[in-house]
Amino acid sequence: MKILSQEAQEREWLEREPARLLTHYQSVVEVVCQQFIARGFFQAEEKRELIQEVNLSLLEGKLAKVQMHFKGTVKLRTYFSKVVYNSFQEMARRRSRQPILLSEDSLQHTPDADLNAYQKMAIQDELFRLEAILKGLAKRQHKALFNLKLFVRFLLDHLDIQFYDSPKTEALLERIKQSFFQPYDHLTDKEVYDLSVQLYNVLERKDNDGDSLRRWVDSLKDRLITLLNGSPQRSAHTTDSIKLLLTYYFSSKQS
Amino acid sequence: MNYFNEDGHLTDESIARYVEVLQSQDWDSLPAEILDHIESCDSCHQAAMDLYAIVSHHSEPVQVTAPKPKSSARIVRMRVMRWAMAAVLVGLSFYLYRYLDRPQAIDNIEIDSPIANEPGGSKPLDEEVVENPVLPAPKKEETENPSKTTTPVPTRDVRDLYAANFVPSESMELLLADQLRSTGLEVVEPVNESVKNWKNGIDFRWTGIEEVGLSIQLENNRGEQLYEQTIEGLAHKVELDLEPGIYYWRLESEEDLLMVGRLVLE
Repeated sequence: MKILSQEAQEREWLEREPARLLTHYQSVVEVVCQQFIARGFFQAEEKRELIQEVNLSLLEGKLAKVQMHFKGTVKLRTYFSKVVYNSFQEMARRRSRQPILLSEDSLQHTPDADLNAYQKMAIQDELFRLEAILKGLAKRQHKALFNLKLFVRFLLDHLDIQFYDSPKTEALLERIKQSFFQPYDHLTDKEVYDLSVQLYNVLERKDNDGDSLRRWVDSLKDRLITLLNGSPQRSAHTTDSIKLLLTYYFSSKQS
Repeated sequence: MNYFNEDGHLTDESIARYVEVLQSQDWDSLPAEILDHIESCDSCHQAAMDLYAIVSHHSEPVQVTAPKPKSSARIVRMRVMRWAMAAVLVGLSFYLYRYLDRPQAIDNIEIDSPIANEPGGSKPLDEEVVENPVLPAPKKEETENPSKTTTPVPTRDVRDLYAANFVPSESMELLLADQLRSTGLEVVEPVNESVKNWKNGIDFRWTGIEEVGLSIQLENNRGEQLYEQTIEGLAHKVELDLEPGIYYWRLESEEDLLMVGRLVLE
């Protein structure tokens, strides 16, 4: 008997038994549908109807297109997720549905707030979208995360500085520990970035001042706002809401 | 290989490829054309962010937790810790007094019953999880009344033993939040989500119009289906050897999911 890997099995189903593949991927269809409901494009009571419509469109043509266009350079599940996402997006467009914009208000729920599962999912969705931008910074990621933490005055710990640990940076890191390992809300941007920039001047052999680092962080923050708000608009972020979102994100990575 | 569609944007597979690199961080495997395009095209970048969110929802979700406490919060927390330790000692003394000094009382202890007058003692854990799931922060009332949680509550002990069984299933909680199609059915039994005596079976009963081919399914909080049975009439007894924990039941007709419910076996 031939034993196939999960991926090989799924690809075989795509070729020979697309309906079976669709059954196998129902959790994907459901997650995408929930995501669209969570973002306010659809109502929760429409869920079954929407899933049915997407399943039908897949069976009646889109899976055949997947068979034609899928080159196999990624996991079939990832590609299928994109196809399903497109289907829900088309449906939202056809029905002229707009999302509920995620804003500072949506993020300011206290622990006792009565958030339903979809509201929680919307916040989690936004955190994943933020994570996608941050991970996409590739080699600039460490510098960006470090300075975005300073931007929101997030307490640093040893994990934040271990990447920069070297004999050349030893004295500087000691000052950073003294300054940023305990609450530092009282420090001005100038004081924060004047210290931080010294670290990068040593590592990058540059002679920048704190203000240039502050401007770099500011432009990064603006980029986060532009991408998260999207076009067509998905969120209504401001500097304050981005600070809140970043703080949640950093906290989630710490726990 | 062509990474672009006729509109000059990335193909779905190219976007998927970028997303898989975001996950693996194996940047060397990503064609430069894709990366260059993502950096210059907000539309494709946003499509990738959305896809990344979907595939991340499939795997482990990001836990949204409260911001790290500032210094004042830390001081309060230290005080709470001291109070809590003192309270635990008081609680232990009370426990020894109540359960060890009076051995004749042992036979009368109902392991599932919260101690009378325990503030909030009878609150089901799943309610606590639902109320306090996303943005947990130091609870203010803990600082005001540190002795509140110190008396040993046997119910909690049992739950601690089976803590993993009491974590709600995200997907089933979403289903519960959904409004399923109107079925004309209503649950009569179990009366409450919290079930204390289930060792002899759990009785289910509904009222309304009976449909053909009804079946009931039961699954645990990890999504493992434990039971499926067709039912006759609008009543059924589920007899299973179950551990304490959160379970979900579904009532289905031949074509539709009619109802979903949660059980908390304590």
